[in-house]
Amino acid sequence: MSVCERIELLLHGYHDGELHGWSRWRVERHLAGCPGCRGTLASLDQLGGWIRETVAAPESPELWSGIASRLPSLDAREREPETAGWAPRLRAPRILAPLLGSATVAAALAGLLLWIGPLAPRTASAGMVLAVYSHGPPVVVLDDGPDDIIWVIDEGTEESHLDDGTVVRAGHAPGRLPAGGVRV
Amino acid sequence: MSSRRIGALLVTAALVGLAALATAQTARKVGVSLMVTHISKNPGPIDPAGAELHRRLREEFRYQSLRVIERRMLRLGLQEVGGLDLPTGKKVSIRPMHLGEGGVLISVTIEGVLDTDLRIPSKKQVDIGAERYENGKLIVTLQPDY
Repeated sequence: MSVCERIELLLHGYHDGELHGWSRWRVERHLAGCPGCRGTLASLDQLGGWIRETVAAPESPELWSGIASRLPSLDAREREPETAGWAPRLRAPRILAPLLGSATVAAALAGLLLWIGPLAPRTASAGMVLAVYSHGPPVVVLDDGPDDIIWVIDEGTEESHLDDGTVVRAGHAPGRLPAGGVRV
Repeated sequence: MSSRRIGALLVTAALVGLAALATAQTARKVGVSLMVTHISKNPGPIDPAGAELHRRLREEFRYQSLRVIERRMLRLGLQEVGGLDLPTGKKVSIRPMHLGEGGVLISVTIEGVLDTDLRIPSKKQVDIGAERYENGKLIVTLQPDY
């Protein structure tokens, strides 16, 4: 799988703000040098904009009347023949429908909260890493989550195409920082 | 008693107080747990002793196995140096420098790799993916306890 194919798998998550730390840094690093993937990200932006416009568009006034004319009439439903015999028809009391509706809405909200829980932004770190000085290899500091990770980048990996001694905080554009007591 | 003498007494008292405070700080010991772990692309188990680290790393990094190589608990006074040796032979040195409200200020040196200053609250931890080792990486985890 090529680098662009691997990054493409992460682009949707990156576009939606779901990536953090190392993954987000990898995507940003790749986008900085790949016009093709930047174009793909721009397409996602355009698609999102188009969807938002379509959803927000006001509905046509004839929409409901067109639907209503195709619904079976209420009179026809109420004229169902009553069943003669020993089994009385049970009719739901008028209060039951609103109660069921409220319960459904509450259950849907609870489900939504449970679903978005893991996707909620992580608690920002207090920033335990004050300063890093690299003796040679590039270093990435991942401190946008609850735990801080300092990662020395191995030579020969795609992330190693940084200048020696570069220290980067994930989420920021990589660049050379002054040597001798680098403040992250 | 003249005002000059009173002033001198106050200054002396302040200096004595500061000296006592500094001595108390230096005398206090800080516990720091050091753990060296190896994550590898080779297939294998996840060491239960490294389960907490695995939980932190697995979303960010790809590896197949995890093994805790060494755990050491150090009790260091401020400005006292302690550490351990990595399997690669490089030294990890740590020096608690100051104990404050935000945590303990610790200077960490991994020989030939990096120097870093960390301010870590008690029981929180910082992981350092230090260097390549046997188709994987050595991770040094620090956790103070004071």
